[in-house]
Amino acid sequence: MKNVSLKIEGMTCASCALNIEKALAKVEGIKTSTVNFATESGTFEVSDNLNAEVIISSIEKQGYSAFEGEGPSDNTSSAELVRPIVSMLLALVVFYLAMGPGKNQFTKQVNWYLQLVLITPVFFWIGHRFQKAIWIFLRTGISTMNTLVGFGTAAAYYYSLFITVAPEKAVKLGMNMHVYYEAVGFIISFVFLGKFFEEKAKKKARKELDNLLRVSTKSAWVKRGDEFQEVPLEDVVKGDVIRVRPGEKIPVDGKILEGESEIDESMLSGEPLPVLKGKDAQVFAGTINGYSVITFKAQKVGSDTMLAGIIKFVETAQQNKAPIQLLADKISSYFVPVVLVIAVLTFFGWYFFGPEPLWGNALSSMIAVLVIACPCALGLATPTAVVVATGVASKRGLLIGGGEIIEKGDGVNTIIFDKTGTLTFGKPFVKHVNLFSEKSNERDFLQEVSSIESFSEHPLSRAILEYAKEKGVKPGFPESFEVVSGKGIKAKLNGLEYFIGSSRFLNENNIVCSYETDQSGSQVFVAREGELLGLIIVDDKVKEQARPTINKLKEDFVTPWLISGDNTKTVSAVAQELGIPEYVGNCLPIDKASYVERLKSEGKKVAMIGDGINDAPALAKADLSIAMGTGTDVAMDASDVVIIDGDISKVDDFIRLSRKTMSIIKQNLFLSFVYNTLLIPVAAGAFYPLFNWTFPPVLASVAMGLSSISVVTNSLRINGFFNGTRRS
Amino acid sequence: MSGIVFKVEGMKCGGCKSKIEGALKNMDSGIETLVNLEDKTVKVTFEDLSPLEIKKTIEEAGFNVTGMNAE
Repeated sequence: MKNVSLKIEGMTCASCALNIEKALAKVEGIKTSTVNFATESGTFEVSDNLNAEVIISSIEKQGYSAFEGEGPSDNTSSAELVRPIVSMLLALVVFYLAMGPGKNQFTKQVNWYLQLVLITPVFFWIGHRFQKAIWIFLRTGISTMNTLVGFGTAAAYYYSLFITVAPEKAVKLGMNMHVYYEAVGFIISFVFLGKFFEEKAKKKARKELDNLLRVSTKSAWVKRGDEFQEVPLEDVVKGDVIRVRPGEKIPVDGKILEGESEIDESMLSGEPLPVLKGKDAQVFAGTINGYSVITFKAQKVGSDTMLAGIIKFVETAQQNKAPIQLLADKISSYFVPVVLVIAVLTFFGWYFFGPEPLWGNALSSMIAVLVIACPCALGLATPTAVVVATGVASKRGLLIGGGEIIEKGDGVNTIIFDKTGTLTFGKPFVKHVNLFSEKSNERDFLQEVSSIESFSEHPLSRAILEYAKEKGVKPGFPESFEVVSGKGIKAKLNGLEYFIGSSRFLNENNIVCSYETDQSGSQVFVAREGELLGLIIVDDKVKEQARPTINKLKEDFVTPWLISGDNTKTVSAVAQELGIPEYVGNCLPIDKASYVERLKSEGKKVAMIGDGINDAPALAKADLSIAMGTGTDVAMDASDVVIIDGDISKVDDFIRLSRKTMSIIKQNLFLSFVYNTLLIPVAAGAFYPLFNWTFPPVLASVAMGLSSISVVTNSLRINGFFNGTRRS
Repeated sequence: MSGIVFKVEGMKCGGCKSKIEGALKNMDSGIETLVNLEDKTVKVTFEDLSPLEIKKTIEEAGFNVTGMNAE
């Protein structure tokens, strides 16, 4: 199996996307297809031997066009504007002749012929796609919004044509002697104008992603032999030595060999302040070098870079359909045939029961029904909101895995935090040193302990070594040392036997260790020759943003939980400091996962936030999983949302953004239903018997255009969501 | 001259053995290495080097040092 991505053009609404998916489901070798109307693209899971050409030709058979890669999609907006402007101008002239001052300038017959000449190019040339849609419908039974417009305008055009060319016959048939050329012109103009604005809004929504794509550079200065040469980005390989001058973009991910510079990483983290980076620091593709030259070694190139990962994530996210959108798609696909039936019923209703002129009223009401019912707004309701929301989020360093995730985020009412690395920095430091023997001093004690600890890679040992270094202690080395996994170290130094580790480890080695402390943190006991020498307490700092984030979540009616593998004393101290009422300590990775399941079985919608491999099982079990981008790849792979820079406050941003987006989607669905559904009976003339209301076809096309524009504009409101909420 | 026996995990065959020997030879050509795959130990005899450096070199070669003993 492989994935093929294509750009698809010619889709006018969500039913088009659905039609393509349906048609491709029948093609052998195509396993799944996801077509996105808003991004005008599709991804297809196909068998390895299937050529992309097969998919393209199947799509073209449905009346759309498809391209590999970018395709000719980026035609300028001025070209898109030509058709609506031309058709609008012609329609206005026709309007002048039909209803304006031009009405009496010629004989009726000449006037009608003039209108016919003016509107024919609009109908056949500009409105070509609508005629095509009728043929597709008649041949395949596939209906889209274009089918509705096609039937509406064709009915108006051919009726008028008949009256113009054969007026006597028309009179004999009892037809209403009125032409609808201006309706043809305006309907087509408004549909195109609506499309134009929609296109513009869609482009704006898509710009975020394009901006991300654009941050990557095309070439790099790479050391070849003894000098640096400019080579295309594709030729850069792992291990290359690359030089970046001030102000240039960093081409690939790597580690600094030489130089120190402030690097603008805002595209990754959303943080505006540049970060000072020197030797051995990690640099990432797409970030911008500050004031001085740096030389670095390429570690990840091409699709392995962090930037490529982010782009892929956002692209897939925008392809994934939210469940609420599937509903919209489904409604859309039933909608068109139902409307066609209603239109026919409307026609006969007016013809048999309506007032004179029978033909005229019947036809104009039918056209109004066909036009008002265009379901394009319905199809746009969810994708536009999802595209804008994921775009806004990625700009803020928050990667959201698609519409489905936003819908889940909206429902979350319980959030489980991991402690280390999530609420705390995950960088332990020595908080306290307690000596039990009056004979020893701290310096000697640290000298002995650090000599032994220097042979251990454990994070606690690192913290103790760091502390000893600060105190100016130079570690020596022991004669022997042995790691007892998960418990401690046994060592020999200057001929004396040492045990360093947990109280349990010391007790197991027959050293009495019953010291109680109420201080939080990990306790490291040190014993020499069977005698307890001292205690070192190592703790982790709580992140500054943790407390405000917990408070905000509570304000948003989300219950925070703290579940950690650390000892209960430390966990409870952190929980109290942050005001988290529910906490559990001493949890193994599997325990964390079973807590998630327990809370879920109590009917809670659970989000899990973690950063390490130990969190991966719980992340996978949770309704929604959020990973810290500063953590391990395993955790990120298992999660729905990634906070790139590990800023915990973005958890609440995500919850609020999800809620906002879902409410926008619901408003959108309502807006499009108001236009599409409620106005159908009005257009059909249901209120005529009561109030004498009729609905001219032109008004219907205005309403339809407005519905698309209002839905898209409503979605774009999400763009401003983070304005003014920026934290200092 | 001092000798240290390191407990090393992850050594499987002659390849691992020569990898460790090569890495240590690179540090100092005067170094003497004796790898015992069965006991999972590496005995190193050396001058003017710190045991910590030797431990790091073995770890960088891809093995895990879990203990040591000076002779």
